Amino acid sequence: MKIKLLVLCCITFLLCGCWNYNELNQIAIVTALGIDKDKKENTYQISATISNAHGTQSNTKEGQSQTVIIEGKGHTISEALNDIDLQSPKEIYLGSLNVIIFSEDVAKEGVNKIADFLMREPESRKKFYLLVTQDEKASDVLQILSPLEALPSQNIASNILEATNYQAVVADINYSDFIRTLIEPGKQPVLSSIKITGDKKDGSKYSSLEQSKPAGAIKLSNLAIFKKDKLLGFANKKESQGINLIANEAKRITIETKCDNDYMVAELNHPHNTITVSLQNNKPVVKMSLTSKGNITEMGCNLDLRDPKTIDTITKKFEKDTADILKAGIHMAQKKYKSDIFGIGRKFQKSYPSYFHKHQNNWDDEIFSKLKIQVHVDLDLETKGSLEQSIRKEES
Amino acid sequence: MRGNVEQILKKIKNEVGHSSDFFSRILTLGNKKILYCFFESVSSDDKISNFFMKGITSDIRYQEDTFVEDLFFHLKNTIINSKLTLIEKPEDIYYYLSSGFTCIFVEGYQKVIAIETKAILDRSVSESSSEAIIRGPKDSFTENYMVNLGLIRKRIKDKNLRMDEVKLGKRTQTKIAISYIKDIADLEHVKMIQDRLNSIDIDGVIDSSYLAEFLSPNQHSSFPKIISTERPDLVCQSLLNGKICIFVENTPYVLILPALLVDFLQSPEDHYQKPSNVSFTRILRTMAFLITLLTPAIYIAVTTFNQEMIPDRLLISLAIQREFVPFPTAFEVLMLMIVFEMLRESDIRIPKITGTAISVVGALVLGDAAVNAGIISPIVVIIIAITSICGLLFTDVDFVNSLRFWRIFFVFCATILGIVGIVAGGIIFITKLASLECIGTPYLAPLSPFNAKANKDAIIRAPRNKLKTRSIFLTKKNNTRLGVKHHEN
Repeated sequence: MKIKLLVLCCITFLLCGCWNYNELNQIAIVTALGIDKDKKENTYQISATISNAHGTQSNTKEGQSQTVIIEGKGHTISEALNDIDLQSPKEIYLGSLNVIIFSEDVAKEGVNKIADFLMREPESRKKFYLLVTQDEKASDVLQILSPLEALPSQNIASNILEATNYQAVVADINYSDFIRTLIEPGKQPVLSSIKITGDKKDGSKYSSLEQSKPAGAIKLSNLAIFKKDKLLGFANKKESQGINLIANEAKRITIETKCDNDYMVAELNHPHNTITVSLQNNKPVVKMSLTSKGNITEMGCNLDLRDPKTIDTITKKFEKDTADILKAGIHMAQKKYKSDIFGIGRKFQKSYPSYFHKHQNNWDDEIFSKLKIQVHVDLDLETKGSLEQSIRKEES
Repeated sequence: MRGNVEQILKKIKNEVGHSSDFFSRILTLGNKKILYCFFESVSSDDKISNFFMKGITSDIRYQEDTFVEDLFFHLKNTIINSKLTLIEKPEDIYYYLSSGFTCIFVEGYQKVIAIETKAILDRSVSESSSEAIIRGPKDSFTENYMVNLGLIRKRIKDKNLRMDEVKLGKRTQTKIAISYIKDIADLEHVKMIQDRLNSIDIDGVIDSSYLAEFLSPNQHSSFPKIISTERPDLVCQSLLNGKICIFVENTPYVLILPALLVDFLQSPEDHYQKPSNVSFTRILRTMAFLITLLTPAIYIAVTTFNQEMIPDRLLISLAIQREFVPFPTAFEVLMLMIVFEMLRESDIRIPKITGTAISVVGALVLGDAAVNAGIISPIVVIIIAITSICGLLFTDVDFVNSLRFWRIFFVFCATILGIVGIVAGGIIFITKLASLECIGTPYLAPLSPFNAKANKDAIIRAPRNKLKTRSIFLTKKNNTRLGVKHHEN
């Protein structure tokens, strides 16, 4: 009896099928994928950044690596990846994927196919970033090396994290966020975009790293607006900021506004936006109200900051300019792309389900684009930094 | 023994052979002959001269005629020796002789007078070498049985402290004391131990560990179920907790039973330091217990099956380090583990003078050369180093070696099935531990079966004024440790 039980136990463990034994030096760790489209042949061209290339043996001891990019072609994602596998002596491992970059063409055609493949792939971690290149080939972006980060893909990923903290231009949206937005009704996805500055060719050479000013660099750019899985276009900086402020994606943002002939700048910390929706006489009413605390970081004008009245007028000005930023974002989404990237539809779905379901099919084009959205901004400028007045004022 | 002294001497010499350390002499006092004999190797000449020779030579010579008739009684009453014994059975003579007694035969008398003239063959009480502590009593047991009992008796001056003696070993005739406090310890347990000891028929007991194997015979487990210690303070703590201690002649290691798993995560010093600090130390030891058990297995599982569990950068770094290693990870880990165990073993056995050479070679060969040669990856050296360091936190040799066994077991589990294997191995490990018991006490107590009161001094230690009762797993009667009088202060 005991032996039978033991055999049964052993069989249970063997049958559960986790037989994926892989030595670490038998896998090629892919940290970034770039997906381009070859229009002539109508094939996907995938570039995979493999991060555990050893270069020289002296690197190995210190645990440093060089990256290698392998390109593969195919009508489907799987075929292209198989093509890469044929070129690599090691097994392609997607578990540590950090970033996937779509070229503009691929994104415009729709990313459903790719998303489907990645969702089915059991190895991948679903927490990588998705990016869209603006005007560039995705493979070129992957090739750019940075002296500040050992791995190009890490370079992009940490850039996104850092940029969402300090600039409201980039959105910290990973793959699972993107898929969730795509599947649930009432919201359209956005992604960050990426650009190359400087020289493409020299920036991909290791010799570029030896210069104090690298030949090329990658730069995160404005938001890419999607409708369903298809790219519609790119927002400009102001619009991107507006979108991020509305979506509460911005942790900190600097706002500049004119005073006299010069500028003054305030920094808003943790701005918080609430969207309230209601139906009045069967007409949708949307209110956005942004509250934030902030402080003045630059003062170019000759103003007496000790006077509470001045602060009041300054605050009004900043509020107006912030509202302008929000309105720019709203205008773009409503009029230019007709894509409900703010998730207003989802709010209606929760509060007024029957109303939303009636209009679900033409929500973006018919209802969202014609919504009247009221914007209210409430700022509280708390500190003026370490300086009471502007330097000019202090001098006099 | 009957017959005249010459015959007796012949008989004894027949029995012990012509041992070079056997000394005998026949004296004539008046018209009576007496024979005295002893083993030179275990007897002290000084004592014999002082207690015996001086007496008979100064006293009896002048009163020959009056006392000769009653020489036996005269000797019995006048020899200045506190341990003077009369031996009735002839076969006992050899035990006494071997124990350092001098036997005196008086012609015509059947009984033999034995006087204690032991030579001091033991080292004095010194500091413990295998269980070092920073704060607390420094003395440790020696090979001298009576000294060991004395170290306890002077600490616990309670009339209820029992030291029941049993003699074991057909040839060694080793004295064994079962020590317990009568109104605390579970007397059924004492009875059980006595019965088990009495049922042993062995030729010799050289060390207390001989008995340890007999006391937990039915369960095969590498985990020790009996503590062996050379610290008297630990023995006293255990006695006061209701445990039972076994002293064996000629060994400084005293057995304490029952032992629980948590006992091996504790040190006697835990009771001499501040409770909060001790709790932290004990949690460290618990962590070290898990780390030393599981680290190599988890490393193998994670790097060969479940790579997705490693953060990206670490994964890349590990992959690069492994690039030129020609062996599978599991083999690499096992190889290094075995080399480390060999190094440890050699470190124990080697004379102290050459010991440094071993550590230099070990550190250089393992730490640097092997990595540079590309035979093993640096991370595996780190893994084995962490494992070994954590293993060194425990003082009990049996416990450390048993951890080694289970560590290799987990490595096999991980090699076959990865994380699933470790989980399966963990289930087997816990089941095994939970099934163990020592004289009726579950090995995992007080964690399982759980008891909140007993847990106040297990993985953590509560302040002393909160430790009011003894663990119910050790004793059910007389449970109060801390009285009201102390509490009110």
